[in-house]
Amino acid sequence: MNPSTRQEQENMTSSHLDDFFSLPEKEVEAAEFIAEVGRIYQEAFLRRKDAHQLSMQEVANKLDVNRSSIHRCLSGHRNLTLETMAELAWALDAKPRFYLDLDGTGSESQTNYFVPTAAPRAETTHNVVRIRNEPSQGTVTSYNLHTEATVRSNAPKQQTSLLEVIK
Amino acid sequence: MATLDQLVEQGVLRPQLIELKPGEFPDRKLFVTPEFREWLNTTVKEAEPFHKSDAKLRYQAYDIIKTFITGKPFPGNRLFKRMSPASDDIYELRTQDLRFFGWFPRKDCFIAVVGDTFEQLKADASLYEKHRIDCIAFRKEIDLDEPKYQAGAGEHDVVSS
Repeated sequence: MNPSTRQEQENMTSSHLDDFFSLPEKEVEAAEFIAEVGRIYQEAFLRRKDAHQLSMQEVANKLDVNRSSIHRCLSGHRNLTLETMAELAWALDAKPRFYLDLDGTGSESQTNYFVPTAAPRAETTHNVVRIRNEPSQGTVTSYNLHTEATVRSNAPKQQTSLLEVIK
Repeated sequence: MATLDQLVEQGVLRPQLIELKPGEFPDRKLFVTPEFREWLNTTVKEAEPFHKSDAKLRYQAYDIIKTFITGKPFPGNRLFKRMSPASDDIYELRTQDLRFFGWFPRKDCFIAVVGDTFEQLKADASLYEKHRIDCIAFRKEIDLDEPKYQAGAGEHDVVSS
Protein backbone atom coordinates (compact mmCIF):
# COMPACT_ATOMS: atom_id res chain seq x y z
CA MET A 1 0.00 0.00 0.00
CA ASN A 2 1.45 3.35 -0.97
CA PRO A 3 2.08 5.67 1.94
CA SER A 4 -0.24 8.61 1.74
CA THR A 5 -0.32 10.12 5.17
CA ARG A 6 2.41 12.23 6.64
CA GLN A 7 3.13 9.51 9.20
CA GLU A 8 3.51 6.89 6.51
CA GLN A 9 5.81 9.08 4.45
CA GLU A 10 7.89 9.75 7.54
CA ASN A 11 8.17 6.08 8.19
CA MET A 12 9.33 5.38 4.65
CA THR A 13 12.57 7.28 5.00
CA SER A 14 14.18 8.73 8.06
CA SER A 15 12.35 11.98 7.50
CA HIS A 16 11.27 14.71 9.80
CA LEU A 17 8.58 17.32 9.96
CA ASP A 18 11.08 19.77 8.42
CA ASP A 19 11.11 17.64 5.28
CA PHE A 20 7.56 18.66 4.50
CA PHE A 21 6.98 21.75 2.41
CA SER A 22 4.02 23.10 4.31
CA LEU A 23 1.65 25.97 3.81
CA PRO A 24 -1.27 27.10 5.97
CA GLU A 25 -4.40 25.16 5.04
CA LYS A 26 -6.10 28.09 3.32
CA GLU A 27 -2.99 28.64 1.18
CA VAL A 28 -2.93 24.97 0.22
CA GLU A 29 -6.49 25.32 -1.07
CA ALA A 30 -5.57 28.49 -2.95
CA ALA A 31 -2.42 26.97 -4.46
CA GLU A 32 -4.25 23.86 -5.58
CA PHE A 33 -7.21 25.71 -7.02
CA ILE A 34 -5.06 28.16 -8.97
CA ALA A 35 -3.03 25.26 -10.38
CA GLU A 36 -6.14 23.23 -11.19
CA VAL A 37 -7.75 26.09 -13.09
CA GLY A 38 -4.46 26.68 -14.89
CA ARG A 39 -4.31 23.04 -15.99
CA ILE A 40 -7.89 23.11 -17.21
CA TYR A 41 -7.18 26.10 -19.43
CA GLN A 42 -3.95 24.53 -20.68
CA GLU A 43 -5.74 21.34 -21.61
CA ALA A 44 -8.57 23.24 -23.27
CA PHE A 45 -6.12 25.21 -25.37
CA LEU A 46 -4.22 22.06 -26.32
CA ARG A 47 -7.44 20.42 -27.43
CA ARG A 48 -8.24 23.37 -29.63
CA LYS A 49 -4.70 23.51 -30.96
CA ASP A 50 -4.54 19.77 -31.67
CA ALA A 51 -7.78 20.03 -33.62
CA HIS A 52 -6.15 22.84 -35.63
CA GLN A 53 -8.85 25.12 -34.49
CA LEU A 54 -6.83 27.73 -32.70
CA SER A 55 -3.29 28.94 -32.13
CA MET A 56 -1.99 31.03 -29.26
CA GLN A 57 -1.62 34.00 -31.60
CA GLU A 58 -5.23 33.64 -32.69
CA VAL A 59 -6.37 33.60 -29.07
CA ALA A 60 -4.32 36.76 -28.51
CA ASN A 61 -5.84 38.41 -31.57
CA LYS A 62 -9.36 37.61 -30.40
CA LEU A 63 -8.66 39.24 -27.05
CA ASP A 64 -6.63 42.07 -28.52
CA VAL A 65 -3.62 41.37 -26.33
CA ASN A 66 -0.02 40.28 -26.85
CA ARG A 67 0.76 36.65 -27.44
CA SER A 68 3.00 36.77 -24.38
CA SER A 69 0.00 37.68 -22.23
CA ILE A 70 -1.84 34.58 -23.40
CA HIS A 71 1.28 32.48 -22.88
CA ARG A 72 1.41 33.70 -19.27
CA CYS A 73 -2.29 33.10 -18.76
CA LEU A 74 -1.87 29.54 -19.98
CA SER A 75 1.32 28.92 -18.02
CA GLY A 76 -0.50 27.17 -15.23
CA HIS A 77 0.33 29.43 -12.32
CA ARG A 78 -1.45 32.58 -13.23
CA ASN A 79 -3.78 34.00 -10.60
CA LEU A 80 -6.51 34.55 -13.15
CA THR A 81 -9.30 36.96 -12.38
CA LEU A 82 -12.86 35.81 -13.02
CA GLU A 83 -13.08 38.31 -15.84
CA THR A 84 -9.96 36.94 -17.48
CA MET A 85 -11.22 33.40 -17.07
CA ALA A 86 -14.47 34.29 -18.80
CA GLU A 87 -12.74 36.14 -21.63
CA LEU A 88 -10.21 33.38 -22.11
CA ALA A 89 -12.96 30.78 -22.22
CA TRP A 90 -14.78 32.88 -24.81
CA ALA A 91 -11.61 33.08 -26.91
CA LEU A 92 -11.32 29.29 -26.68
CA ASP A 93 -14.93 28.96 -27.76
CA ALA A 94 -15.78 27.40 -24.46
CA LYS A 95 -17.96 28.19 -21.49
CA PRO A 96 -16.62 28.26 -17.96
CA ARG A 97 -18.56 26.55 -15.22
CA PHE A 98 -18.12 26.67 -11.48
CA TYR A 99 -19.49 25.05 -8.37
CA LEU A 100 -18.67 24.87 -4.71
CA ASP A 101 -18.42 21.43 -3.18
CA LEU A 102 -20.01 21.97 0.20
CA ASP A 103 -19.35 18.51 1.54
CA GLY A 104 -15.84 17.93 0.24
CA THR A 105 -16.87 14.74 -1.48
CA GLY A 106 -16.41 15.89 -5.05
CA SER A 107 -19.93 14.64 -5.67
CA GLU A 108 -22.10 16.78 -7.86
CA SER A 109 -25.14 15.88 -5.82
CA GLN A 110 -23.67 17.77 -2.92
CA THR A 111 -23.43 21.09 -4.71
CA ASN A 112 -25.56 23.78 -3.20
CA TYR A 113 -27.66 24.26 -6.30
CA PHE A 114 -28.00 20.73 -7.61
CA VAL A 115 -31.44 19.89 -8.99
CA PRO A 116 -31.48 16.14 -9.77
CA THR A 117 -34.13 16.05 -12.43
CA ALA A 118 -32.10 14.58 -15.27
CA ALA A 119 -29.54 11.81 -15.53
CA PRO A 120 -26.07 13.32 -15.66
CA ARG A 121 -23.98 12.64 -18.71
CA ALA A 122 -20.80 11.81 -16.95
CA GLU A 123 -17.38 11.18 -18.43
CA THR A 124 -14.81 10.68 -15.84
CA THR A 125 -12.11 12.81 -17.32
CA HIS A 126 -9.97 14.62 -14.88
CA ASN A 127 -9.72 18.38 -15.12
CA VAL A 128 -10.78 18.96 -18.70
CA VAL A 129 -12.86 21.92 -19.67
CA ARG A 130 -15.82 20.68 -21.64
CA ILE A 131 -16.10 22.28 -25.01
CA ARG A 132 -19.44 21.58 -26.55
CA ASN A 133 -21.54 23.07 -29.28
CA GLU A 134 -24.88 21.49 -28.75
CA PRO A 135 -28.17 23.31 -28.49
CA SER A 136 -29.09 24.23 -24.99
CA GLN A 137 -31.90 22.17 -23.52
CA GLY A 138 -33.18 23.49 -20.30
CA THR A 139 -31.04 25.41 -17.91
CA VAL A 140 -27.69 24.25 -16.69
CA THR A 141 -27.87 24.21 -12.94
CA SER A 142 -24.67 22.50 -12.03
CA TYR A 143 -21.49 21.25 -13.59
CA ASN A 144 -18.75 19.14 -12.20
CA LEU A 145 -15.29 19.97 -13.45
CA HIS A 146 -14.06 16.53 -12.44
CA THR A 147 -16.68 14.35 -14.07
CA GLU A 148 -17.79 16.63 -16.89
CA ALA A 149 -21.31 15.91 -15.79
CA THR A 150 -23.86 18.50 -16.66
CA VAL A 151 -27.31 18.40 -15.25
CA ARG A 152 -29.99 20.28 -17.02
CA SER A 153 -33.24 21.18 -15.44
CA ASN A 154 -36.35 22.95 -16.51
CA ALA A 155 -36.76 24.21 -13.00
CA PRO A 156 -35.85 27.80 -12.34
CA LYS A 157 -32.18 28.38 -11.73
CA GLN A 158 -31.16 28.59 -8.13
CA GLN A 159 -28.38 30.98 -7.47
CA THR A 160 -26.44 31.88 -4.41
CA SER A 161 -24.48 34.96 -3.76
CA LEU A 162 -21.27 32.94 -3.92
CA LEU A 163 -21.75 31.34 -7.28
CA GLU A 164 -21.97 32.41 -10.85
CA VAL A 165 -24.41 30.31 -12.83
CA ILE A 166 -23.65 30.76 -16.49
CA LYS A 167 -26.58 30.30 -18.79
CA MET B 1 29.74 4.42 -1.99
CA ALA B 2 26.28 5.17 -0.70
CA THR B 3 22.68 4.85 -1.66
CA LEU B 4 20.31 7.78 -1.62
CA ASP B 5 18.89 6.63 1.70
CA GLN B 6 22.38 6.47 3.16
CA LEU B 7 23.10 9.97 1.92
CA VAL B 8 19.93 11.06 3.67
CA GLU B 9 21.10 9.38 6.88
CA GLN B 10 24.41 11.20 6.55
CA GLY B 11 22.65 14.54 6.12
CA VAL B 12 24.08 15.11 2.65
CA LEU B 13 20.58 15.09 1.21
CA ARG B 14 17.09 15.40 2.60
CA PRO B 15 13.88 13.94 1.19
CA GLN B 16 11.49 16.66 0.09
CA LEU B 17 8.01 15.68 1.13
CA ILE B 18 4.57 17.22 0.97
CA GLU B 19 1.41 16.38 2.81
CA LEU B 20 -0.80 14.24 0.63
CA LYS B 21 -4.57 14.05 0.65
CA PRO B 22 -6.60 10.84 0.54
CA GLY B 23 -6.21 9.34 -2.91
CA GLU B 24 -2.82 10.93 -3.48
CA PHE B 25 0.26 8.74 -3.41
CA PRO B 26 3.99 9.42 -3.73
CA ASP B 27 4.95 8.04 -7.13
CA ARG B 28 8.17 10.00 -7.61
CA LYS B 29 10.92 11.02 -5.23
CA LEU B 30 12.48 14.37 -4.64
CA PHE B 31 15.68 14.89 -2.69
CA VAL B 32 17.21 18.24 -1.88
CA THR B 33 20.42 19.61 -0.43
CA PRO B 34 20.28 21.43 2.90
CA GLU B 35 21.03 24.68 1.05
CA PHE B 36 18.14 24.13 -1.32
CA ARG B 37 15.87 23.39 1.64
CA GLU B 38 16.91 26.65 3.26
CA TRP B 39 16.17 28.61 0.09
CA LEU B 40 12.80 26.90 -0.24
CA ASN B 41 11.81 27.77 3.32
CA THR B 42 13.00 31.36 3.22
CA THR B 43 13.20 33.00 -0.21
CA VAL B 44 10.44 30.97 -1.81
CA LYS B 45 8.04 31.32 1.09
CA GLU B 46 8.49 35.06 1.26
CA ALA B 47 9.10 36.37 -2.24
CA GLU B 48 6.48 37.81 -4.55
CA PRO B 49 6.12 36.82 -8.21
CA PHE B 50 7.88 38.82 -10.89
CA HIS B 51 4.54 39.45 -12.60
CA LYS B 52 2.04 40.57 -10.01
CA SER B 53 -0.75 38.58 -11.62
CA ASP B 54 1.02 35.29 -11.11
CA ALA B 55 0.54 33.03 -8.13
CA LYS B 56 2.77 33.56 -5.11
CA LEU B 57 6.10 31.77 -5.31
CA ARG B 58 5.20 29.47 -2.44
CA TYR B 59 2.02 28.47 -4.30
CA GLN B 60 4.07 27.68 -7.41
CA ALA B 61 6.53 25.66 -5.31
CA TYR B 62 3.72 23.79 -3.61
CA ASP B 63 2.17 22.86 -6.93
CA ILE B 64 5.30 21.74 -8.71
CA ILE B 65 6.47 19.70 -5.73
CA LYS B 66 3.10 18.02 -5.37
CA THR B 67 2.72 17.47 -9.12
CA PHE B 68 6.12 15.82 -9.27
CA ILE B 69 5.81 13.70 -6.14
CA THR B 70 2.28 12.46 -6.85
CA GLY B 71 3.19 11.28 -10.34
CA LYS B 72 0.89 13.67 -12.17
CA PRO B 73 1.67 14.45 -15.82
CA PHE B 74 4.94 16.31 -15.84
CA PRO B 75 5.47 17.54 -19.38
CA GLY B 76 8.91 18.42 -20.55
CA ASN B 77 9.68 21.98 -21.68
CA ARG B 78 6.82 23.25 -19.58
CA LEU B 79 7.69 21.81 -16.15
CA PHE B 80 11.23 20.61 -16.68
CA LYS B 81 13.98 20.80 -19.25
CA ARG B 82 17.53 19.67 -19.76
CA MET B 83 20.12 22.42 -19.60
CA SER B 84 22.73 22.96 -22.28
CA PRO B 85 25.00 21.27 -22.95
CA ALA B 86 22.75 18.21 -22.87
CA SER B 87 25.71 15.91 -22.36
CA ASP B 88 25.92 16.97 -18.69
CA ASP B 89 22.35 15.79 -18.03
CA ILE B 90 21.63 18.63 -15.64
CA TYR B 91 17.97 19.56 -15.50
CA GLU B 92 15.80 22.32 -14.17
CA LEU B 93 12.32 21.88 -12.80
CA ARG B 94 10.51 25.10 -13.55
CA THR B 95 7.51 27.29 -12.95
CA GLN B 96 7.09 30.91 -14.05
CA ASP B 97 9.17 32.17 -11.18
CA LEU B 98 11.10 29.19 -9.87
CA ARG B 99 13.96 27.06 -11.10
CA PHE B 100 15.11 23.92 -9.27
CA PHE B 101 18.50 22.87 -10.66
CA GLY B 102 19.66 19.28 -10.29
CA TRP B 103 19.59 15.91 -11.97
CA PHE B 104 17.82 12.57 -12.15
CA PRO B 105 19.88 9.76 -10.61
CA ARG B 106 17.20 7.42 -11.87
CA LYS B 107 13.76 7.64 -13.41
CA ASP B 108 11.21 9.58 -11.37
CA CYS B 109 13.78 10.65 -8.85
CA PHE B 110 15.20 14.18 -8.84
CA ILE B 111 17.94 15.66 -6.71
CA ALA B 112 17.56 19.44 -6.41
CA VAL B 113 20.93 20.96 -5.63
CA VAL B 114 20.23 24.66 -5.93
CA GLY B 115 17.22 26.83 -6.63
CA ASP B 116 16.73 30.34 -7.88
CA THR B 117 14.03 32.73 -8.97
CA PHE B 118 13.22 34.00 -12.42
CA GLU B 119 13.77 37.54 -11.17
CA GLN B 120 17.32 36.79 -10.02
CA LEU B 121 18.18 34.90 -13.18
CA LYS B 122 16.80 37.68 -15.35
CA ALA B 123 18.96 40.19 -13.50
CA ASP B 124 22.11 38.08 -13.86
CA ALA B 125 22.09 35.60 -16.73
CA SER B 126 25.44 34.17 -15.68
CA LEU B 127 23.70 32.53 -12.73
CA TYR B 128 22.27 29.86 -15.03
CA GLU B 129 25.75 28.64 -15.90
CA LYS B 130 26.90 28.95 -12.31
CA HIS B 131 24.04 26.80 -11.05
CA ARG B 132 24.65 24.21 -13.75
CA ILE B 133 28.33 24.00 -12.81
CA ASP B 134 27.45 23.80 -9.11
CA CYS B 135 25.19 20.85 -9.83
CA ILE B 136 27.92 19.05 -11.77
CA ALA B 137 30.42 19.69 -8.97
CA PHE B 138 28.01 18.45 -6.30
CA ARG B 139 27.19 15.33 -8.29
CA LYS B 140 30.87 14.59 -8.74
CA GLU B 141 31.56 15.11 -5.06
CA ILE B 142 28.80 13.08 -3.42
CA ASP B 143 29.50 9.47 -2.67
CA LEU B 144 26.48 8.16 -4.52
CA ASP B 145 26.53 4.67 -5.99
CA GLU B 146 27.32 4.53 -9.68
CA PRO B 147 25.86 5.25 -12.07
CA LYS B 148 25.11 8.58 -10.49
CA TYR B 149 22.86 9.64 -13.33
CA GLN B 150 21.33 8.37 -16.54
CA ALA B 151 23.76 9.60 -19.13
CA GLY B 152 22.15 10.57 -22.41
CA ALA B 153 18.66 9.78 -21.17
CA GLY B 154 15.76 11.51 -22.88
CA GLU B 155 12.83 13.23 -21.26
CA HIS B 156 10.72 10.11 -21.16
CA ASP B 157 13.58 8.19 -19.59
CA VAL B 158 13.83 10.47 -16.57
CA VAL B 159 10.18 11.26 -15.86
CA SER B 160 7.29 8.91 -16.45
CA SER B 161 4.28 10.47 -18.06
